[in-house]
Amino acid sequence: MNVILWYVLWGIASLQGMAVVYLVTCKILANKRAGKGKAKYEEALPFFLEYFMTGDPSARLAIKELRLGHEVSEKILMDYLKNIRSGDMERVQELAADLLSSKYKKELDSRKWSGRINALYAIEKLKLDSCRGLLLKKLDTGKELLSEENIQTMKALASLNEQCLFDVMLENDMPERVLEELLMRYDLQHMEESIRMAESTDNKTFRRAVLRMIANKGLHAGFMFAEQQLQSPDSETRLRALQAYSSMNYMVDPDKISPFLTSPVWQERMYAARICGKLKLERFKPDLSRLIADRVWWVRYHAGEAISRLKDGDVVLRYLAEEHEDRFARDMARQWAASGGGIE
Amino acid sequence: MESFIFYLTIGITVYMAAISISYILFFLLAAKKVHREKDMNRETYFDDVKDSQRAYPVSIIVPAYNEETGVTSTVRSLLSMDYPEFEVVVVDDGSTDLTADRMIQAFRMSEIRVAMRTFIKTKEIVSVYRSEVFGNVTLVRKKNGGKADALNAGINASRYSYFCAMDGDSILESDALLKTMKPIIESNGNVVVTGGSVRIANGCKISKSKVEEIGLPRQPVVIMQIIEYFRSFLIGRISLSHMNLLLIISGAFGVFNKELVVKAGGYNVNTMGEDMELVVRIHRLLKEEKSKQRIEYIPDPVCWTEAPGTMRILHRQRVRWQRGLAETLLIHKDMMFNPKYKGVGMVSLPYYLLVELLSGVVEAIAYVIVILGMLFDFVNMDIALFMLGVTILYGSLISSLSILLEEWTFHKYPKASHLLILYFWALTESFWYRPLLLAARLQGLFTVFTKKKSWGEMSRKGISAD
Repeated sequence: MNVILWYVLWGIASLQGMAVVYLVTCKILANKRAGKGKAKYEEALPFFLEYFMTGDPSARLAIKELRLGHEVSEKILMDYLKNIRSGDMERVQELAADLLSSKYKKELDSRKWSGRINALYAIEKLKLDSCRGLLLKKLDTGKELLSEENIQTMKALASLNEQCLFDVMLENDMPERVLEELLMRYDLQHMEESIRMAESTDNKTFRRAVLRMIANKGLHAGFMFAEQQLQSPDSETRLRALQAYSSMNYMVDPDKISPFLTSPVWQERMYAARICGKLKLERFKPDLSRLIADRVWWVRYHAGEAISRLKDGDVVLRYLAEEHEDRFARDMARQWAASGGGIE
Repeated sequence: MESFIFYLTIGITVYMAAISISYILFFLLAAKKVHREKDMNRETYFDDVKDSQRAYPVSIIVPAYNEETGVTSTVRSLLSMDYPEFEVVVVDDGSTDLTADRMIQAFRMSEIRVAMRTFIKTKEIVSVYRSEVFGNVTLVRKKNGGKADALNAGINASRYSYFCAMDGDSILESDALLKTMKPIIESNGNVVVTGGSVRIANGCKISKSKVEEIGLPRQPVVIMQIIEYFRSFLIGRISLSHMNLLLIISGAFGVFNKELVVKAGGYNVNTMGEDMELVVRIHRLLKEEKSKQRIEYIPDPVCWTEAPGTMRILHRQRVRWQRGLAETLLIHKDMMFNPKYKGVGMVSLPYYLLVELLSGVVEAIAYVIVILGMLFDFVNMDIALFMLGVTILYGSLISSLSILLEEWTFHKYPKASHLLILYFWALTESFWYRPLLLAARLQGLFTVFTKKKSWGEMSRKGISAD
């Protein structure tokens, strides 16, 4: 019995020993690798920069001759991408395709989840068109549609402006947020196309996602669509349309906004108030003075903000701060009169 | 008498074995996740959230009580955060030192009039200030009511739908919000609370409120806490979060859905473990509403905090933690072993009761038996030595496995010598650190029924060099 107990002890102690040897060896090797990688990075960076700036083929040749590991090339490209303007993308993409696409193609088939995910993110960032075929092959429209990996595959495809992804979005029941994430990755031309699709589809979620995209991008092309959707029988869609309206700087027909100032849905009243302020719709001053006493704090807040943006808004606010019969309205008016902004 | 001691010893042995097995199971669960993400390019992975139009804005609430040494450096570190839209709300909970003055001076703040909502009742708000330089920095001065009350006031004063609660003396990594908000943003509202790993800043070189160089402190008592944090965050929390059974989001850093917290009633001002208590209450709410929403933990280190540098202060801190844990379990005793609350009622709460709370009592009984047994010769020395060996080696094995997980994922400690030092001290844990903390764990347990409550002040040197 005693012998067995001591074997157990030795077993645990050996495990400990192995763990520490493994840890220290890994650390030393990793530090060496990192040191070498850093030196190569510094050596190669000027050639990359020269190629990006001038497009000089000799710099590109020099990069190839350096025989950098994928890791170093990827780091330089990613670091560079963080700081560039979109116009400079072409050379980065070309070089990335040359240096890294074979690696990513292999990694997309890797058994390691982290390898596949890394490749998907990199393909998206670097917009590697050469991987499109593999991504389409990998895309799962079945039960894995919304897995993290599949969503990232779709994001990568969207960044490559893949047209057939629209069918996947329209035909499947996908969350609005995911649809929005995908739509936002397309270029302008494809975004406009998505608006046309939204006009003719019955898929409410897709329509709402398109409205969110219009709101985020402030898309001029989406203005008419957003205006149509203000009449939608679906209150969520109307809200997205109002959201899109409030984030665009175009003059709207005030008659289209006025029903929302008395809507039973507080979010509609709030967005309507915001639009009044943003577009300086003076004729709604009385409505805003009423909404500053709304039962919902957010409506009061945006009504106060809207009044502060109107002509003579400060005078109106000072008057409301003194004379309004509602205590909460007086508080809100006082806040906007004093600071022009406050705690929301 | 002899048979009583025999059965007691058997009971303790079975209990210890069960705990040991649970630790190994937790490690295996955590290792699976960590191994899966081991080689992931975390920078690119989290970069995705940066797009300002899609990231939800966040209000960072910093409750502060007598934090004149560290509060401005904390706020400065927050202002350099890499996140599209956020605000900082510092709540001065009736400090008796110069906390508010330091803030007003450092950020050129002036008093403003506000129409503040009262989601949760708090002690009286005295005044509100806003920075003239940084429009997103607000200071709320209120009458003293404790940390939970200060957090509630911060919730009332916050602007956005998500808030991040943190300690006044902590320093956040610049990508902390990017990392913790990613699960919330990508889950489409399904994740309602997130937390990240808290790391110990003692021994690190910190300048301009940023961790410049990671190092180890000299005091063994702090090194042991570093190992403890690894174990707790990288083994315990990863595995519990994996099963949606996480009961603690550290008070030093956590992001919450404001609407849900308000619905749950905000922070409980009557407990010392307000962070844990809130998370348990949120679990209760979600289960009662049959909601599928999740509380998630990301293992990435997001927050650096100053750990107690002496046994005396550590003792006080642990008394507070233990008392907070006991209070939370007492408040939610009806959830314990209640199948209605699924895993939380059947696994996590019993785990926290039997392992985290009561293990101190069992350990104390075991020490007494061993000592008396040696004195009165009723313990088999071979078995006693074996048990001692197992305890030491097993305890340090778990610690070294947590060091392994850290090295697989974040490898924050740059030198091999750091790992050796950590490993060496991990081996010594059972000889001095655990027995010393045992007193605090017992004291914390038995002070649950006393009414004394405080912010748990800790003399701080301040962790930033400038």
